[in-house]
Amino acid sequence: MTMATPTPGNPTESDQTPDTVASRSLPIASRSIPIAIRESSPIHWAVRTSGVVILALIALYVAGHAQPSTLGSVTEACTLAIAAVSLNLLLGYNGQISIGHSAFAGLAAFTAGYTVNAWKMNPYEALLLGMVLCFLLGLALGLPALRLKGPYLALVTLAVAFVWPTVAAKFLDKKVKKSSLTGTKLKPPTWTGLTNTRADSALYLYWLAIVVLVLAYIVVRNLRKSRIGRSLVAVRDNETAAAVMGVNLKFTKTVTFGVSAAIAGASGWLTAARLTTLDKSSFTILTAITYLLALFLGGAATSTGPIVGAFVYFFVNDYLKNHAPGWHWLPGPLSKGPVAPFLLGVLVIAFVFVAPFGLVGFIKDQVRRIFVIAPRPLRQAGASVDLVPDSTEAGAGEQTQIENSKGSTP
Amino acid sequence: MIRKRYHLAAFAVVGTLVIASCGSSSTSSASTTKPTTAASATTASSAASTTVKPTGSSAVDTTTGASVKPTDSSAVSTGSSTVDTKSGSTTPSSTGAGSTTPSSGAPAKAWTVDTSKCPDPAAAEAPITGTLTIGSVQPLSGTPAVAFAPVTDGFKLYLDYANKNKLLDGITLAANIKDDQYDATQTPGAVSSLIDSKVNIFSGIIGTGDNQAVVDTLNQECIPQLLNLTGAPEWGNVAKYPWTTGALVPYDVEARIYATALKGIIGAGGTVGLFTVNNDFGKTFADAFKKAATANGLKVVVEQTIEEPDQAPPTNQVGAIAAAKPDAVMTVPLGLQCPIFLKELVNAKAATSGWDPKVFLTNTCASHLLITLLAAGAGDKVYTSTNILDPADPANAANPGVKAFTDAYAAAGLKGDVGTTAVGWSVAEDTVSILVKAQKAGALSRKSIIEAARNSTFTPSLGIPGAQYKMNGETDGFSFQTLQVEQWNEATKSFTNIGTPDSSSES
Repeated sequence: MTMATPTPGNPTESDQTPDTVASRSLPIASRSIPIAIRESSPIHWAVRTSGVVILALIALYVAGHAQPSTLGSVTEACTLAIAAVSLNLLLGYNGQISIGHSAFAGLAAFTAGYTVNAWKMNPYEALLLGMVLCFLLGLALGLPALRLKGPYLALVTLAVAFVWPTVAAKFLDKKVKKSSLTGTKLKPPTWTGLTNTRADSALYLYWLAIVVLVLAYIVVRNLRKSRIGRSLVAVRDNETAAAVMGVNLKFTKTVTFGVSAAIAGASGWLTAARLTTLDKSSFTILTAITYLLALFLGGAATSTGPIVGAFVYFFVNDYLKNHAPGWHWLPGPLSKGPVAPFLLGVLVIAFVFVAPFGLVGFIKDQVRRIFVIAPRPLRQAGASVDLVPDSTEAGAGEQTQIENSKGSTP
Repeated sequence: MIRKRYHLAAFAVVGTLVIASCGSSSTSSASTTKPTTAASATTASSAASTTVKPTGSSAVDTTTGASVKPTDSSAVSTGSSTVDTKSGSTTPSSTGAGSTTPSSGAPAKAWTVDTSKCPDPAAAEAPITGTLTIGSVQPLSGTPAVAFAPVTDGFKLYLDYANKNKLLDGITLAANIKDDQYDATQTPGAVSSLIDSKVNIFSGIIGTGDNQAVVDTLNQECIPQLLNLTGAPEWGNVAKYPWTTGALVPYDVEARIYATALKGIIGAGGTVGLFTVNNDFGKTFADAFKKAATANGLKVVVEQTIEEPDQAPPTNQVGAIAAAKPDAVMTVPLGLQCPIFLKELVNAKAATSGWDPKVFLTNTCASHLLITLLAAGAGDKVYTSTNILDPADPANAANPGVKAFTDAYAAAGLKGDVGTTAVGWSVAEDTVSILVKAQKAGALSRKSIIEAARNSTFTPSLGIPGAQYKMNGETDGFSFQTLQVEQWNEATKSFTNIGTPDSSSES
């Protein structure tokens, strides 16, 4: 389904942005800049495969050479990325804002911590239980979303984020009788050949976090590419039009909320596996804002944006905390105070001006100056129709006309 | 349209972040983000803070002020053959990295730790040469840094002092202190990073939850976690945490001392209102105080709590306490909540005729900044406790230990709360005293250091009369258990001792 409205923050995510439409006008055979690569062509597959291979090699290299603390940092970044991916499904693709995702992560983390320690439940079963609970809570929270939009929906979810620490404190008080809960202390299974040492535990959590992140990415990406995903985007762009086209608004919005909450729950479960103790301050409104920040830094409504944003945010923040210079050169009271949060804020503000569609959108814009992906030919009534015209006919406006005249919307 | 919506959302997120960051900045304007050396600590907080109440220290000659080797009364063991000269008590021998069992042999032996279950036993016993790096995790930014940053300055100041005076033969001391913003979720990452950077021991990690978040890791790795700046009673559980010790008087001991003092002031049968911060620190304290109050014939008639990050005046909580009109109020807030509570209590007293309760304040609030500067007179006649001398009190100026500290403080150009800075100095001094003892006993290693920590008695240079660092294996797992109850006098801007130091919990 080709959308009439360009997808914000996702100029190349699908075949619907003006940029991509423009790219169709470029001659594939031409070697002039930008070079066009046809979608799903062997070259395109080679590029994509090599990207995956490079990422896998980096992951292997880090696993083999990094110290446990670095592995822990990557694990933490993956945990943030999973939460950002969950938020991307809801906000990026479905247009429903949530400032309460920290509550879902907290619910799953507390479920895991409590059931593993008090009920001796298998930690992986606790993951499923936590995700189911988050899904149900997400469904419940999705109900007001049927009537609320924009800032009003944001307020409802904000309330959830504010309420969570109190709920957690009451739970700890009544059920745990302490002000903190022990984490799941996840040990590497024997089949991995890893022991329970700090180094091995860090390595196991590192791979576990990567696996969960990849699974979350695949789920959201495939969902986005499916019929349901097209419904999500249709609802985001124009609810009335989507309803007219037969999209079940109630189902789509509430289930999206539920699925997004369940994925955020996986992030919380990983946090419970990583931390020794959990308390009511482990998942606050600031946690939820961090999720949003990671999403927008990387690029909302892009499949890789949340992951890139989470890693960039985490490691920039970590670097500033450890290496930010002091204010010694400033006079009087100005020479005091925390530098790192201020610098991070300034960087983020500058970044929003430079790359309003996120880091992924910015990079894609730059890469598009050299390479463009031309969509594969549409098949219509058994005939192959090549949308890539002769190079002399290049022009976005003309190309759109060609597309429309051929009824290219499947 | 959608682009605008996304722009708006992005700006909303950024705006919130900046506001959060600014809020943090404004409330901690007196704090430093990350002082790097004691010398650079001139940039550290100028206003100061709360007192994580100290421990005391050694290493300063009580007559000359010059650096000396601590005067101990116990032997330090590096092996099972060393005999503890303390009290003749039987001490256990350890059976594993994480546990110990009492020995049944006739001669009392110094407590030893078993390194055979450590991931790298050889590393735990390997001699430390050249530079010994002490790791710590403390709040260096964010709101809690207002109260705690001077601890970091004092800690580094003493290590500089120790290096300058060559207190350890052939060893240079270095500090590697990371920031966790008093957020226990950040502590494990910071500690993991410090372990990877090869710190030899940890000392002075601030916060009950923060220490709990890493205690398992450090005990599993067999790395000494000395002098936690928290009074959680669990640090005395030698069998469970052989590699971990606390620096503060345990909260249950502090609570008992207050209850006893209260009984003397308001009499048995008196009523008490309890106000605590809702975290591990507050809960532990509240539980201990309620038991001690019952034991002393006091009645807790009202309990109120405040959330840890809440900096708003606790009007409703204080109103509820005032409505019950207790004879006394036991107050256990955190950091900036201390002066906020005191001011709110003054308002409540003014609005409640005939109600003038005795107010007891946890000694974590007993700094000049919190009790007088920020409380704006509301701290007058408040009771609290201490086990180190107040370096801001002119009466203590001639004390050699105080003089050594204040000279170093002035020379470094520090501006943070002098009392809180003294806490950091004291913890570092205790740490160095333990290291000196371990070195005297033979090789300096992680094993010998924790054994020295658990088999030592020495008198801190800033300690009040009677306050001693005294640990004896599993028999006595707490370093300090003596406190002097004192009362703040707003007119003279000083504390007045109430009675004599309470050492009844010392074994």
